[in-house]
Amino acid sequence: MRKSHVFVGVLLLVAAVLAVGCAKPPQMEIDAAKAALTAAEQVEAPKYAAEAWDKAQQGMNAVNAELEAQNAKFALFRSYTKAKQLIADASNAANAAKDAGIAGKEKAKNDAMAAIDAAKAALTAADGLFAAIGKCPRARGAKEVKKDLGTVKGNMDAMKAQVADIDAKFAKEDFFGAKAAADTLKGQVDPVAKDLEGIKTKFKCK
Amino acid sequence: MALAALLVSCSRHPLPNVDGARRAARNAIQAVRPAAPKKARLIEQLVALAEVATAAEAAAPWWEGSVGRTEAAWLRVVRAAREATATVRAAQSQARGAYATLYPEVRNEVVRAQAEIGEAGMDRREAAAMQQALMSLKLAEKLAEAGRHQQAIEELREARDGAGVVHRAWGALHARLGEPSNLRQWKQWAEMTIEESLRAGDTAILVDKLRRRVTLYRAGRPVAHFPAELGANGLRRKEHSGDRATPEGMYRVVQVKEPPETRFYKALLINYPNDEDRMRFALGQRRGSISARAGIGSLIEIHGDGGEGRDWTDGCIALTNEDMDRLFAHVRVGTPVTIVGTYGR
Repeated sequence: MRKSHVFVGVLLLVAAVLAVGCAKPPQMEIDAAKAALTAAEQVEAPKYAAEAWDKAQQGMNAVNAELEAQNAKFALFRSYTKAKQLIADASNAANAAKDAGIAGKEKAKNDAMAAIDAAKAALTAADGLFAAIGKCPRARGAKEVKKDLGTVKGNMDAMKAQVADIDAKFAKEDFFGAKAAADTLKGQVDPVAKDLEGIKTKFKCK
Repeated sequence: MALAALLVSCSRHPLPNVDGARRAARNAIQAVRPAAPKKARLIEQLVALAEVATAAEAAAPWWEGSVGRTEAAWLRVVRAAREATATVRAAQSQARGAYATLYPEVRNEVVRAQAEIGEAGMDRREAAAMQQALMSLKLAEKLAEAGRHQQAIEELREARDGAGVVHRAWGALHARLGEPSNLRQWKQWAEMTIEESLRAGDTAILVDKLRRRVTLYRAGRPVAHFPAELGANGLRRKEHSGDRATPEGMYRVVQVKEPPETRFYKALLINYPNDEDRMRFALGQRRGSISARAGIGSLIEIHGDGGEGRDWTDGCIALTNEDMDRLFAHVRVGTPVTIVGTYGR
């Protein structure tokens, strides 16, 4: 009798130890994965890296599903091996989405900046040509040039005024809008600059 | 008994197939995200909850499970996806339609404004507005091509505003040319000039700015008409130096120029400013409508090198060289030259 009591007691003890020592959800890793996803969202990954974001989101869903599946089991039968792998994959995907979001936004910003710089450079160059023609007596005195210079000046003043609008779009992080506006402005400046270049060459202005 | 318990606990309810709902959610997120990122995020969150519900259902023993929970979760997903997609598509369709309606109207306004500026000349304000209108129209086209119709509509409105500035200036200019008091004044000047030509049996020149026409009178009868080109702001009344407007008033030829006295083939210098011009200039400066630093201007001529088909001078009246030759044959120092906005004949 005593022996059977001892045996049952030992069995219960083993069971208790097993239950306590059984797998627990890897909470730190789960929190880290969630933080990584939040970080990706904060750098606007859904906007600038939609595909990578979707993968990260799906990864997190798989983690949550696996955790839920394990939690539904009896404690002794739970195993978080698969969950740990899924968490690692989800973290990697979230970090990749964050990096892609940062890179995507940076690219959009750089593309817009390049377009704005090109438009400003074109305006500066046209301005320089206009000033050179203004100092060139041969060109200034030529009747066909005199006719148009006033009109060109007015148009250039108006084009310069549009730069502020473009800068405002860029400041609001409307990179697509800023780029489109800058490209359009450059498209207007280029033919004016070409005409001015022609006049400068024709009259051999300095 | 343990084995029986184990077998029983392994049995599960069959789960509904949710692949269709997953696909619908994915498609909706992609479609909705660019225009409505918050709606897309909501769908993502509902999908996350539904996946958890599905996993819980799949793992629950038969006595705990309730398939209805899974179905309800995915039903919420599908509803949210449908609503978001329908809302965004309706908005996009409306924007596309509104753009398609507005674009031709605005394009016509801008084209009209370009013609008006070409016809009436412009100062810096109208030049800036015209440039803004052209740029906004081009930008609207670019944005519409990229499917951003709402932003394109905003740019079309900017273009219309710019064209509106030009229209109003043109309207004000032409209103001046139709004002009864102005018409009476111009008619009086024209009749006085023609009367003088008749009495003296001599020549006189009458310039109709609105019609862009120079008429040579001899003994009170018109003998020739010549198309003319005015200052770049020619239809305005000249107020000061550099405004590129063509003056209005009764003048006379004070100098007849041939090369090398003129760069414009041949020229007839008139006595602008006359006394009335000086009085108006002084009044304008006193009132502040003319800058204290401005000069009244001078060297207004009828000269050659015209034929551009547009107003381009600094205020002078340009004829073709052929027409200058014909005019030259009949004028001399002292010939009356009267410039009016417009007159009847």
